[in-house]
Amino acid sequence: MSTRPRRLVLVLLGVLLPVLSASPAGASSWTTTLNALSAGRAQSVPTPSAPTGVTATCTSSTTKTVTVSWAAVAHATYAVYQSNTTVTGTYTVVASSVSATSWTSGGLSDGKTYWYQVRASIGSTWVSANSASTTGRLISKNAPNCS
Amino acid sequence: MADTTAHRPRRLATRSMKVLSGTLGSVVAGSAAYAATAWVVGLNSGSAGAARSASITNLTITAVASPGAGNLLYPGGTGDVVVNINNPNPFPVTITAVQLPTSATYATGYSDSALTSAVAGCASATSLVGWSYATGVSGSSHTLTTPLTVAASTSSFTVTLTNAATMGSATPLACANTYFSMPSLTAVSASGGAATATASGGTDAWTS
Repeated sequence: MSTRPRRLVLVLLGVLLPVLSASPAGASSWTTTLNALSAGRAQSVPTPSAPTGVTATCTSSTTKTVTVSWAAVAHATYAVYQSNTTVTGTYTVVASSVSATSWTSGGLSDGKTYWYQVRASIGSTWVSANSASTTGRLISKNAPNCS
Repeated sequence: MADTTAHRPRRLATRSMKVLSGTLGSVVAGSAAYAATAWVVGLNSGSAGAARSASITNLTITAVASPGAGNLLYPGGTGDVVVNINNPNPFPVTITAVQLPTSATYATGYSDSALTSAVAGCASATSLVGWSYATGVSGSSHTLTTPLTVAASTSSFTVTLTNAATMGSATPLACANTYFSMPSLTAVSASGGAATATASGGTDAWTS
């Protein structure tokens, strides 16, 4: 009879002490490094596509300038290429790092026809192919100066 | 004498109840501290931290194949990071901040969402893909916009960290249309105890 309460206490302590030892209450703070597998997953966009919908229009009936327009490519800036020989001739860059989706030339030379292509780039290394060529625009010293 | 003998069991019982009362008091006090305790939690079981509190099992944070990231990386831009958090502890854990490796610690590129086939030319030495707001010092701490509470014994808690990855403007073309295994976090700051679990599949972020 006299040992029953003591046994009760021992039994209860046997149950409660593991709970106490398992409690994180004793760990106020701690620092460790993460294991090598700790990470997450990100994903990148594809290489930019060549701009589409590229057109060249005479800016007005009197100025000898052409405005080139195209559809936007996400995150890209653009370079504009020009040929004044043939549609399949050599294209040289006439504007770069264009952030808008249009560009207007300076004064062009009389008697020449101009074709344009546009290239998109993201950052310094992700560059698209050139777009299809625009219709040629003829510059004339007679009105209209551009057609 | 007879009286003394007769009352001994009662005195023993009284003393026993005092001991028991003290024990229960310790449990209650321990529970209160448990709810308020905060840690910087790591995952390396060999760490000193694990030795200090054997009851707290480290979290694991891993990449998952789905869902896909909403905002995709591009040179000079940022993108989402999707992570899975495993909390093996029998109590909720609330993550309040992450500690990042240095800004020069980069991800490896893979051609598949399961991150098994590495992309040539898009290794961790060249990808320039790292954590947003990482600094030159390893372990910089960044507070989450909203604390994340991972329910007890949860192995599939997924969260999208909005714009948590950054890509350098000179990242090679080989890294286009690629999946990235982000560099390991160095640690996370967390607290344990009763809290309403955050719904899996949501978003979070850090902004500085």
